Order: sequence, then structure tokens, then C-alpha cells
Amino acid sequence: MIQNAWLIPVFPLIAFIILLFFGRYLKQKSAYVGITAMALSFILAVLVLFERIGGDTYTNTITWLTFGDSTISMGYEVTALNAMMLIVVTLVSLVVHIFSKEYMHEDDRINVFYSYLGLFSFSMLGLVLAPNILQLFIFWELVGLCSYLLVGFWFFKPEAAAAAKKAFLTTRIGDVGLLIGLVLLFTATGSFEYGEVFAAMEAGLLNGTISEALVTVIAICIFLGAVGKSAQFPLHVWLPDAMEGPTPVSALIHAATMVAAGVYLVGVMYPVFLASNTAMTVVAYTGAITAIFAATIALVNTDIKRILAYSTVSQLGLMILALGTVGYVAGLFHLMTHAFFKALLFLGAGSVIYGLHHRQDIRKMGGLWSRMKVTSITFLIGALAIAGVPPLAGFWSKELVLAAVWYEGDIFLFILAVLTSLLTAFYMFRLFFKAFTGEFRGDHEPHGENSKLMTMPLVVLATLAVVAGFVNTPFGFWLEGFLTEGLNVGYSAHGDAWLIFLSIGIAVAGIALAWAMYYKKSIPEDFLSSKFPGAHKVLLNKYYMDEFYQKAFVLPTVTIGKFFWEVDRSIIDGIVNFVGRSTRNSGRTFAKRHDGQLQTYGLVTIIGGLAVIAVAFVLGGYFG
Amino acid sequence: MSTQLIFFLVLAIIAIAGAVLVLKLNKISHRIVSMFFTFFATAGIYFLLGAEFIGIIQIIVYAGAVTILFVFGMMMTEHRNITFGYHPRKIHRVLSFIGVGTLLGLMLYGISTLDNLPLKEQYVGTAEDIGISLYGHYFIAVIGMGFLLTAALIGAIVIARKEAK
Amino acid sequence: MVHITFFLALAAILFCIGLYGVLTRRHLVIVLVCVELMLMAVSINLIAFSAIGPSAGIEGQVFTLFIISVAAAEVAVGLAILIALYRNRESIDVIKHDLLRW
Repeated sequence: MIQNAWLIPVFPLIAFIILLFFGRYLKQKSAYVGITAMALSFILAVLVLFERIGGDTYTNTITWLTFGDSTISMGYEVTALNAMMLIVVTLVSLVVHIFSKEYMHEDDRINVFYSYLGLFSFSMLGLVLAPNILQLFIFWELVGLCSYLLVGFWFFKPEAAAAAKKAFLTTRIGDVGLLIGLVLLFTATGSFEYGEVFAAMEAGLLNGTISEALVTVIAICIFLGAVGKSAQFPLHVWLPDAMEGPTPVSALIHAATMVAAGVYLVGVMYPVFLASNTAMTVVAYTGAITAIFAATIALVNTDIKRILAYSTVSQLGLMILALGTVGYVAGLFHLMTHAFFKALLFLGAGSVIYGLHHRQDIRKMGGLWSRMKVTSITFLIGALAIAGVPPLAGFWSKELVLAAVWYEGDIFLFILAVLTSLLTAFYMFRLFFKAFTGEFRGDHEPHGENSKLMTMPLVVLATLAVVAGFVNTPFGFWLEGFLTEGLNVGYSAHGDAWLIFLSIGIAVAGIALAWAMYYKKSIPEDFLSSKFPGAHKVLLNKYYMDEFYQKAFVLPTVTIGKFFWEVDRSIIDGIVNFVGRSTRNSGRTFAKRHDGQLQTYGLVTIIGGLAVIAVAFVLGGYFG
Repeated sequence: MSTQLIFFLVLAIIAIAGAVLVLKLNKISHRIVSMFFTFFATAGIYFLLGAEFIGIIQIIVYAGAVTILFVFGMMMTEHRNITFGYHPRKIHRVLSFIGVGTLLGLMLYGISTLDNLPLKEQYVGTAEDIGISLYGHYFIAVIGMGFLLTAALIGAIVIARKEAK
Repeated sequence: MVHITFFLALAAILFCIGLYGVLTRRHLVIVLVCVELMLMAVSINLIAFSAIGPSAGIEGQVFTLFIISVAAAEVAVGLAILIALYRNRESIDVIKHDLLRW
């Protein structure tokens, strides 16, 4: 079955093509096409995973281009990491497909929506299966395109159109870095294949043909791509805005899969990063800063989807931090568990938003516990999982991340990670208590729990959020053994007992604080914000990052653009218009002379002939 | 001053005077008559140069046939009133005069500097020589000329005939 | 014998008078007459060179014959066109015939 792994991305592609051509006739039935394709992909992915667990890495490539001594191939590869990612992507995608049927059924363009989802699933699975980094880059750009299309799905809303543009342009900055990294890597090693690249790099470092500085530059360039795609500081600004897209899209692309592609990229290229201490430090600090930075913003935001978006940024920061501190398994394990519980949270939020007729402000919610039972319970499970309460999935992976950071030895990074965990627990339960408990503060009573079609995906994901962590516990490191088998990706840290208790303590402390402030109200809500109004304002305005970018990059760019536009308009166009106008005017002038008078023509001919003769005489020396 | 030169000068003056009168006379018929004199004087020049055959042809074709043709052409079109009223472009006439005068000046200058041409004994080509040359070396050209004349004959008829109603 | 430059000068003068007439006369028949004058000037040149030129020979006379033939054909066709034109446009004035105008 593993040799048929290439079929996994093909199913959604077929769905995409079908919907592209026949979508307008299928309308609501489009959902079935997409769901069927994804279900097939998922079944195949499960089969592939089982085969991979029992077997070995499978690679199948064909030659694509040959120039000189270099060969670029394309094909597919099933490694341990790929197999895990395939499961995550197909499962979340399938669940989102099912969820969207109900969520999007009011939308007239549901067939377009499903075709985009199909294209995205194809691209993401292709990215995961890519056997070389060039092919990965192609699919990398494709998922970026899908993100653009889906964020801007409601393009008639100006915010959505702007958000789509922002998402595309911001990630583009990172993509340019990635492309530069690819070119440098190719010139250094002469190959795009993962294995060959790593082997050539190792050999080059040993015999000195590749300097460590070059490796650092390559690693940081590749990391730039991850920074853009995984919304790391300072390119994180697009992800919260991307919440303008439909909520299932947020769950699929901007929580579980595409934003994790950056983490996946770092994981795939891990040997390159391991070869450079500087690059690892950069990665670790970027992750840590992003994690704490986004977590603080999430503390004060009031939009349910944006809180989750900042939470995503923060959790992605933790993954990157784990990878930067040699926690290969920790980062990827957290990637997997996070995909499940963040998709769950987003779909839960989607269920809430759908129930409340597209209202997203948590100040206008409250008391949903009694009104939307299933959504509330599953959301609570997701919140507990992300807060890191045992024995849910988030606990095991987060504990592993903390352990990796601790054993790396940088106490500053460790404090940031712990603080982020505390804040995560706090803001998630702030969200939970405000939205689901207390009195209903909205103006429009929800119509009760949503249909089975929407709650079943939540239940599935909730189950996974509970059990997914058991694949890698201190009682059995199955995932670790699976992922690191035959790979040299550094040591992996296992937490000591005190770390486990610290982890639990953080989660409980955060939840308790939120409980006291937003449920019991024993601490007034504005306790901190009234004490530190300045800090609160800064957080509300997201550290003024958007304003800063507006002033620092957008405005100068626009100004320069306007300047060159003026130059183009006045000088370039002026020249062009002058040429055109003078041609036209001379044409008019000479057309007047073209009056049909044969004798005039004759006279002009004679005068011209005389001029020629005169020149010939002068040049020929007839006049001495 | 030799006899030949006297003859030449007389013929040349007749030719030039005829040509000028073609431009200057008022009536079309008078102009055509003055053209006839120019052609006739030119034929005399040919005789002077010993080309009797060409001279005779000149008289037959030009002074005879072509002149008659022009007379017909004149008669079939407007010929009584040849003042066309105000000329819209006086500058045209001035410029033409200057241009043509310059051309003539240049040509005469060029001719006057041909001083390296010796005065030599005149070559007399008889009609027999012309016949041998025409039907020998220039045979193809004669055939082509025949086609041209035929085409001109048919073309002139086709163009000039009244169009069918 | 008269020097060849006299003949050449005569031809040049006749040619220029013909040219001036072509450029300035407004009666179409006269324009055609002036074209004939120009052709004839060329013929004089040919005959002169044929008789007392540097390489005198029969060719000049042969080509004069050709010129006369062409001139005859030209006059015939030219007058035919002239008559057709006059019939259609009721005018013999060159200035009125400006069909080539833009």
C-alpha cells in the first residue's frame, strides 16, 4: 500500500478538478465530492502509516530535469515524519470538510469553497510527500495561494480582501528567503534531495569546502520561509487578520496544517540547522519571543477567533522554540497534538459563531454552556488540552517542549516558555469562562445546539485531543522511537518528575486565575488593566506592530511607488506621448501637403533630386 | 563659321523658340503648331548629324502622327477657353522656375566642363546598319516593342471608348 | 563639324523647357506635349553621341527608334486617358484632378 502513497494527494486533486468543472451544477452536493475524496485519502493515509510503522522509508522518484551534472527529480517519499503528517493533514482536512457542509450551506459559492479546500488538501499533502526541497517549495507556494484564496473567500468584504492580500504579501517575504536559501543550498551541495543534501553538507563541513558561516546563512534563509508560513515574529501579523476567512478554513489552514508547514520545514531540514549553532539560537529565540509575544496579546483580545489565532501563533512559537533547542521530537509531537486540539477549538468557535449568527465578540457571549452542550464540552476539552492538563494531549507534548528547553540550558528561554504556558492556560480559560459561563450578554439568542453534522467532527477531534498524547508518554516513547529511527537528530529530552509537576502547576495556576477573575469574579476583571493602563493599551493594539509596519514599510513603499508613478507618468509617459504626438502632428502636417497635385509632387521630386545632385557634386569634388 | 554651325544654330533657335512658344502661346492650336516646328527642327538636327533614317522617322511619327493625335485630343476636349482663372499657388510657379533653372545651370555647367571630348570625324549609320542591328542584336527588344505597341493600341481603345450604359 | 557640346546644350535646354512646362502648365494636353519635348531632348543626346561621341556607333540610333516607338504608344494611351478623364470630370485643368489627395 505504501507504494500507492502518491494517491493520497491525488484524491483531493480529483475533487478539485471535478468541482472546478461541474461545481456549479453540484452546488450543495459539492460537499459530498470533497468529503468522499478526503475520506479515501484518510483511509489510504492510515494504511500507509501502518505499513510504515512495520516497514521502512519508501522513496519513488523519476528524473524531471537534467542539466550538466545536476539532476532534479520529482516523486514521493514516505518517511516517519511524512506518515505522521499525512495522518494529521488528512484527518483534520476530512473533519473540516464534514464540518463545512453545515457551516457553509448558506453560502452560494459552496462549490467554490470545496474546490479550494480540495486544492489546498492536495497542495498540503503534496508538500508533505515531497522527496526533495524543490518540490516542497512548489507545493509550499501552492498552499500559500490556497491560503490567499480561502482567506479572501468572502472577497466582497473589504477586510477579507485586505487580509488575504496581507497574508499573501507577508508570507511572500519569508518565501523569498526560502528561495534564496534553496539556491544557496543547491550551489553548495549540488542537489535538492534531502538525503544527498545532508550527506554533501556533512562531507563539505568535514573537508572544509562548505564553511559554517554558509550553513548558517542557508539555515536562516530557510528558517525565514518558516517564519513567514508559521507566522513567527516579526512576520506574524498576517495570521490574526487571516481570521477574516471562513472559520473551517481557519481551523484547517491557519491552525492545523499550513501554518505547521513552517515547523515541518524546519523538521525536514533539521540536519542543516543542527550543523549551525547560530542558526539554532536564532530559531530558539524567534520561537520564544513569538510565543510570549502572541500570548500577551491574546490576554486582552475580545474576538473569539483572534484569541485563537494569537494562541496559534504562540503555540507555533513553542514548537519552533522546541526545535531550536534540539527538541526534534518535542516540536513535532507538539505540532501533531496542537493540530488536533487547535482544530477542535477553531471548529468549536465556528460552531459558536454559527449558533450566534456570525457574532465573534466574546463580550457579547456568555452562558452558552446550557445552550450548546456538545460544543461547550468539546471546547472545554480543547481548552484543557492546550492549557496542558493531564492526561490530555497538550500536556504530554508541552511537557516535552519544556523539557527540551530546560535541557538546552538557556534559563531565559525556559522562563519564557513557562510564562507562555501560564498565559496560555489563563487566556484560554478567560475565553472559556467569558463565552460559555455566566449570563448571556448577546442581543440574539442562539438557536440551541447545532446539528450532528457539526458536532460530530467536534467529538472526533475532542477524542483525539484526549488520546493523541498517549503515543508519547513517559510510559512509552513510541512516537519518539518512530520519528527518530535511523535519524541523527540530536538527543531528545525527557522531563524529570519536577518538570511534570511544574507543568501541571502552571496549567492549574492559569486556570485558577481565570476562574477567579471571570467565573467567581473574586478578582475584578479590570484588576490589572486599571493598574497598568499603558500596558493594557499596548496589548490591545497588538504592540502597535501593524502601525509600525504601516509607518516603517508600507508608507515608504507607497511613497516610493507614488514617486516612481509620478516619474513614470510625467517623464516616461511624457516622452512616449511626445513621440506619439509629434508623429501625429508631423503626419497631419505632411498629410496637408499630400494634396493630390501631380505638379507639386513633381516639383518636390525635382527639388529633392537637385539636392541629391548637389550633394554628389560637393562630395564628388565637381566644384573644385 | 562653318555651314554646319550656321545650320545648327538656325535649327536650334527654331527648336528652342518653338518649345518656348508651346508654353507661352494662348491658343491650344497655336501651341500644337509651335510644337510641330520644334519636332521638325529636331528632325533637321538629326539630318545634320547624318542620321537621315531617324530624321525621316521623326518627321513621320512626331511631326506627322503625334501632332495629328494631339490635334484630335485637343478637339475632343475643352480647347476654346484655356485660361483657368486665378492660380491658387503662385509660389509653385516661382519654385518650379528656380528648380528647373538650377537643374539647367548644373547641366550646362557639366556639359561645358566636358572639354576632354575631342572633335572627331562623324560616324554615319545607314538604314542598313540600323536594320541589321535591330533584327540581329536587338531582336528581342523589337518583339517586345511590338507587344508594347499592340497593348497601347488596344488599351487606348478600351480606355477612350464610351462606357456602355 | 560642330562640337558635341552644342548638341548637348540644346538637348538640356529643350529638356528643361519641357520639364518646366510639365510642372507649371495647367492644360493636360500641353502637359503631354511637354513630356514629348523632354523625350525628344533625350533623343537628340542619343543621336549626337551616336554620331560624334567618344564611342560612336549605331546603338544610339537604334535606341532613338525605341524612344520614338514608346513615345508614340505613350501619346496614344495618354490621350485616351485624357479623353476618358475629361468625359468623367468635365475638366481639362490639372489642378482639378486631385484624386490622389489624402
